[in-house]
Amino acid sequence: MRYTKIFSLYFQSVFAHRGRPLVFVLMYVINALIYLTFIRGVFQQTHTIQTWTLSSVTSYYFLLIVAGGTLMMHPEVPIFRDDFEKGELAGRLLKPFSYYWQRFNIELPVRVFQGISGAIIAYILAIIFHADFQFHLSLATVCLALIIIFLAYFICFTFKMILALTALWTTEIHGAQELTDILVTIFAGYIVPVNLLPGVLEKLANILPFSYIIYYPIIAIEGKLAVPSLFSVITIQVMWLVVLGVLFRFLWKKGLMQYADFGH
Amino acid sequence: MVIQVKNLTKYYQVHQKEPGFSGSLKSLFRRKYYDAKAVDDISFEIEEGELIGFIGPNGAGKTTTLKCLTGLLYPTSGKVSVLGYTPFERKHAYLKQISLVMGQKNQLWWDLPAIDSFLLNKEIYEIPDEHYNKTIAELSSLLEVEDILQVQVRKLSLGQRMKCELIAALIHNPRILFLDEPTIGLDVMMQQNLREFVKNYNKQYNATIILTSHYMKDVEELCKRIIIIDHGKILYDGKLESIVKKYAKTKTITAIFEKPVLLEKVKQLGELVSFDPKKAVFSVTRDQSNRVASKLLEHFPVEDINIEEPNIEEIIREVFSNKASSV
Amino acid sequence: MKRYLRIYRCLLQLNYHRMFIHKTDTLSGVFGSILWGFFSIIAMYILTARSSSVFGWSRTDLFVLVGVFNILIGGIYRMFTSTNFDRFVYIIQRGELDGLLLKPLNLQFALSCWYISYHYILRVILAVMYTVFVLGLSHVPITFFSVLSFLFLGVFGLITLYSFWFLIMTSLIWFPDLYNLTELLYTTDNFSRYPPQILWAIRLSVFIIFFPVTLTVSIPAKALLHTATTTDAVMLVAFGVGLLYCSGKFWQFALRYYTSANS
Repeated sequence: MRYTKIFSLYFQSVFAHRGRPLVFVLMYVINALIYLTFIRGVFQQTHTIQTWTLSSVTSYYFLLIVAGGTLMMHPEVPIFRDDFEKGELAGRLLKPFSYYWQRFNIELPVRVFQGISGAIIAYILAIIFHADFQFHLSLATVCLALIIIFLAYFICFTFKMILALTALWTTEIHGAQELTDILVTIFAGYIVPVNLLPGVLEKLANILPFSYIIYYPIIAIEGKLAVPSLFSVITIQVMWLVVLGVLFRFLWKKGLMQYADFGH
Repeated sequence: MVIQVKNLTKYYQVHQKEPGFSGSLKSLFRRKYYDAKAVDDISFEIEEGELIGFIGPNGAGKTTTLKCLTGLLYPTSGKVSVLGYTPFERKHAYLKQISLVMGQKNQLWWDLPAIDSFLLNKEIYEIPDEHYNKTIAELSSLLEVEDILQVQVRKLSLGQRMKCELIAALIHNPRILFLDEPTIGLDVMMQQNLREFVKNYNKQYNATIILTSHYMKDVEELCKRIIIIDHGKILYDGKLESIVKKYAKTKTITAIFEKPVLLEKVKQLGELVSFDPKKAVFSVTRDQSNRVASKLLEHFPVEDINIEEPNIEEIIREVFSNKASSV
Repeated sequence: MKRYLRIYRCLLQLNYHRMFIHKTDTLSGVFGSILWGFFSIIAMYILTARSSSVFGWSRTDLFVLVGVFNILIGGIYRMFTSTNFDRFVYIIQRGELDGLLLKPLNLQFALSCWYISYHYILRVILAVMYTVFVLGLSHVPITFFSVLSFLFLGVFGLITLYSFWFLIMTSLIWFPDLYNLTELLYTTDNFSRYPPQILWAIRLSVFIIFFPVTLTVSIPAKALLHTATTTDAVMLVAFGVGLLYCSGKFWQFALRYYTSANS
């Protein structure tokens, strides 16, 4: 009950600053449109690249707007700015509520709002661009796709929490954050779908966790993956979640001692 | 007159949200705004060299008035003239003659020594080298900060930082100085130092100083004239001693006796606030205070007697709580 | 004019001192800016992996475009504006514009020129070396005239982009809680990284507002590639001058609505 109430309160605060989440959605829209238009220029010369046609790649970039707004979380920025720099972590630690879940509850309403706004904008753009969404879904593929989306959410959130925690040792995260943003942009499938990446980059993308946050959820929900492939994706996601979960717990424990040592 | 304010009004538009989730959803599409009157039709004049206290509770309109006088805010209506200029036009010739110091806000570069920020201000205000060196020497000596000018601002204590902020604000010898809660957050020693400095600066340079503060000590020690503002309206504009005379209906007489005295005899003289056999405290009306004091001295073995005006804070509180009629 | 040059010289010195006080930040900034430089090249490599030309620009032309982007926008523009525009948001939210409003100084100058991020210099140097290398690979001669035109058009490209940013950032006076507006503008700068034909291909009339952004890098790049026309040059200069004038006027108008934060 209290989690519902907490979620509701944070959701209301999102409405109070309606401009900000909309600006973030606009960023996803502009990035997606730039890459889409460039790729459409490439498709003018060759009508099919691997399994992608002009129509399917167009629908991919529009789903990217929704996926980016919903699944790509950014708790590290307010954690660093508010909890570490301003010292609000002390207040959070005193609450009878896990820090991980506190931050999750703050982040979730923003994602829901951005996801809904992104979906509305993507739908309008899809009509303008005559995007042809083809969802090849069955009950099994829908259920598995939803599990993939659910796991993607937690992989992203846990990874970003780990990134934020590094600030307890390095005192600033901008360098690590910029490196992460670049890796995510390349390997999550923002520039091109992962299987259109050249050679070694594609292999790397399938090893790193980023494609399992954005690319695989998109093609899963489109029904582009068969059931066995969906299970493979889920297996890799669970492995990543376990690794990141263990790493988070380890860093959190060590980090709290670091934090206490300096008497912040 | 260096400052003339006529019918100054300033409204802000404030968003009003209904409570709860449905209120949040409604506010997403349609927002209700109302006009908050920060300053409501006020008028006053200030002469050169005056040191004025501008007091009022939080949200009274003090800072808004100050910001209209300095040109930071555009008035909703009314006329403001400072040194013959319209502040909002922010002409450079006007800005070179004024300065605003806000407590807790800083203009110094955080990572660099204060002297670097002074050098930048020197270029901005086009201060000649000789004048700059003389002013820095004078001000840093007055404020006793000669040895910290080369220290990074972020390494200074709040009091030291405040002093450096003052120097930065006074480097161009402004004719009018606006001080918005300059002693906020400072310890009692630092507050006293700052008050001394402001008093001396006013005397030495004949600068007009307008001061807002929540600390009555600042007002009592520095200002002969006060303007009391509440809910955007001026409640009182006049001498500080006059408000005491006007609103302080009673005085407090404290008598300390050489030998114990009887309560029955003492309480005939006036209203007793407290009593013990060797000390009595009376609250008497202003016109009766001399009579009661002389009776005490005549009929009782008084060792020491003290007649006090009520605390200025209590008087101001009375003005705010509308028990007094507005002037 | 002399006064502003003296003030700017003082600001250059203060920022130089500041750079050595925050050594970690400086190093982190150098690392970050070079990383983004490499990213822009990798992104172009990925996008053009399956095509030899897009929108009439050959692959090597596109790599030159990336190089020019890194010199002008990723390097010089960010060096002079990134910290200032980040601060723009902060000081309007906190009401700290008051301190600048009280100075006898052009406010647009004070907002735009206060900080200089010297750590972008290395990115500019590397980007110049990269661009010269790519031009050499594609056998495009580097002549005195092409360099001069590049510099001249580059200046107007920077003025155009700066004015565009300033116009958008002015809206913070009415919407002070949009602290992510700078991030949106960093995203819209991506229009300058690709051929201007992208804008027409998007087919949404609202995107026409980004047209000046698409010219800021492409026209100076065309100067280096010896494909710039007089129309290109006139258009860029006109946008630069026009937008700069509009940004100043709009800012003056917006200041009437600045409500300042409470003390």
